[in-house]
Amino acid sequence: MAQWLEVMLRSVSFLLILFIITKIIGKRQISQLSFFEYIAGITIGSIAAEVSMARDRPILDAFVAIIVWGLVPLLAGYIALKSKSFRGIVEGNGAVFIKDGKIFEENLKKEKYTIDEMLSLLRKKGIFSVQDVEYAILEQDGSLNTLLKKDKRPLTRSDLQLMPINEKEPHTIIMDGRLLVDALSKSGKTKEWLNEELEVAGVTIENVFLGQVNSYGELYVDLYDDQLQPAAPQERPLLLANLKKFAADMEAFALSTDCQETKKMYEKNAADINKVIQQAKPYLLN
Amino acid sequence: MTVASDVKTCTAGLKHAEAVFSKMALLSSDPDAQQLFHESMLTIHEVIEQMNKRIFELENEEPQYEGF
Repeated sequence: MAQWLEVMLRSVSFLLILFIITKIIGKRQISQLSFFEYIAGITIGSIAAEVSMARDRPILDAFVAIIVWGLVPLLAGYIALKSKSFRGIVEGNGAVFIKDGKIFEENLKKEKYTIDEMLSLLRKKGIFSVQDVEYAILEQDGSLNTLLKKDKRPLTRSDLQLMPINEKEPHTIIMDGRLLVDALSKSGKTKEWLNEELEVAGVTIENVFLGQVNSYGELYVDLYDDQLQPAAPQERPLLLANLKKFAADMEAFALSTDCQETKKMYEKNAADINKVIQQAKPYLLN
Repeated sequence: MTVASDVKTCTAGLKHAEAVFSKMALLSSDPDAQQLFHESMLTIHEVIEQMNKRIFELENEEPQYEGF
């Protein structure tokens, strides 16, 4: 067999094996390597590289080596899934760097982090003053996660004691001018609805680069032609404005009528509409 | 004395608001939002009924405004 042909065959077959092994080990491998997986990954890579180039090495040896290096981390991962103490050994535990606003120097030393590195990690999180931090922990993957002191955290709805409100995730239903049928059915909308919405926006589907439907069933479109301004969904803010107008109208009617009973009816209507405004406002503001 | 045509305009607007609430109740994907929109629609519907009653009275009182 020609040399180049053999190299090619070996390379292709190891490429396939590596592909299968990475699929088995799973997504975790890419995002958060434990030290163990890191070593195993490098070794598997070099075995594959070595064997696909060096034709004097028997291919079976490489198979065995790769399978061992692939299986052992897999097994370790499986045991770690079941046992907390084993997980601590293989993957390590997080180290607390800051607690109650105080830096733990011993832990910094243990993890071989200098104060500058820790400050730089904090700055990456947008924190420039250590005294704002209530708690900071160095995760096993080397990232620093922080909990700010309560009065330094961003304001939330619950801080203001506002009514809880929930929004579902938007669905991307048009990409590159093409309809994604699966996503459309997942969003619970129909093709007829989409055609209607596109007509309202004054565009055809071929001109849409990206189309997303939000929690309120409104369609946002981005067009290929950036000069064109499609009509943005305005229904909800418009409805809020209209409701306010109706409440004011009712109050005006109540003032201008002489009949007591009618006056009362108008006043009740105004109160009802105002109640609706209060309740629906969080959902109607953009 | 309120002008009947003002009352009618306001009622027509309310009917539109009812329709929008009804549509949003159907199109929203969050159950809480759906329910809130539905309740709002019912409240607006009650208001519309009151207004219709008033329009009927006004038309009887002031026949010159009928059909405005």
